Amino acid sequence: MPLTQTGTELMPVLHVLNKSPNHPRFGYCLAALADNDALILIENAVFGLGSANRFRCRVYALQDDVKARGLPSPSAGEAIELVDLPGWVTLTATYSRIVHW
Amino acid sequence: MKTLIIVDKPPYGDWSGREALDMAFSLAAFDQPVSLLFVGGGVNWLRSGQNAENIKQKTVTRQLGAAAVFGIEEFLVDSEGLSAYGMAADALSADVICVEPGPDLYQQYQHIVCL
Amino acid sequence: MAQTQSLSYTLVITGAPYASQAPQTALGFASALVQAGHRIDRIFLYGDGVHLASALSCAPSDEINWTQAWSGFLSENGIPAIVCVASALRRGVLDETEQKRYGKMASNLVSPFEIAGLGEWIDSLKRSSRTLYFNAAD
Repeated sequence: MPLTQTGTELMPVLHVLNKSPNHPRFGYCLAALADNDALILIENAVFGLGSANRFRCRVYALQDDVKARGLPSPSAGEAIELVDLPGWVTLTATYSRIVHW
Repeated sequence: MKTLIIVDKPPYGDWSGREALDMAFSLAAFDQPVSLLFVGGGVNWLRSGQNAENIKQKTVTRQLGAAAVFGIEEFLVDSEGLSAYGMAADALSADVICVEPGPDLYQQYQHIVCL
Repeated sequence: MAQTQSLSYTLVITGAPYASQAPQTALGFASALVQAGHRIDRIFLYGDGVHLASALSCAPSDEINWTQAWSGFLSENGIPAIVCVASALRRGVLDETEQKRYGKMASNLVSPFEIAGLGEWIDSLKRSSRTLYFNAAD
């Protein structure tokens, strides 16, 4: 678990990213991730599925956006979970802190 | 309820920074603690010597100057963004705190808004 | 997991229809929220997002009219919807009051949207369990 300077645990954050991997916002989001956070890739951010090894936390991707863009589903070896809209809703209910990039 | 408003685009070329700033001013007007974080191209909001008269816009320096008066708590600026744009922290148009944005910084805010 | 717990949400939309995917993504998410038994406190349109509330937008017959789709969804579910006044006036989205105030030829705010200020957004930050943003991608 990552610790802040005061020694308390960081509250996990759900990061919602909708920018392409070459957008500066993609990098800002990566820099904001803590180990116990979660990241969901939606809209253009699903083009970043291939660079999943750059993420240090749990990663989800919105199935409809992946399918719409003709991208292959992540293989079982890649630690990325495809979610539908109800799945995304569940994630937002689970994490009380949410940041949209 | 502490809010952080992130500005990551330079002024004048589009409207998003102004609309982010409006959110910060509103929070301050309702006595809600709010800080601004300038990252990437957003650091250009703080460049000294701006004059937007000829492009018929309001120079943003004056607006930022009002921010402190209206109760916006602090201006945070991403040190990497400053060096990327060749700007020195001590030559900016406002008093800033240099930071390296990461989980520890973001953790201090209950709401984070990045338009 | 908090699946069974019912929460309250505010959705802020800042991306315009036909310029970004934001209104579509937000509508899909909002429908899923309602189906999951969560409450939507309000929808707040800000920046370019206010174009979604223009009753004058005409989509080609083989495309979805996102203004109508949203308007229908909000009415069916009794969800309050606010258009930020500062964003709306600049972009030509007016209700009858603003039309009269500025002496314009028409108003175009689609129901059930109402014009109000950023105070409504701040109220959401304070009151809703979650405030989510649907911004333009790139």
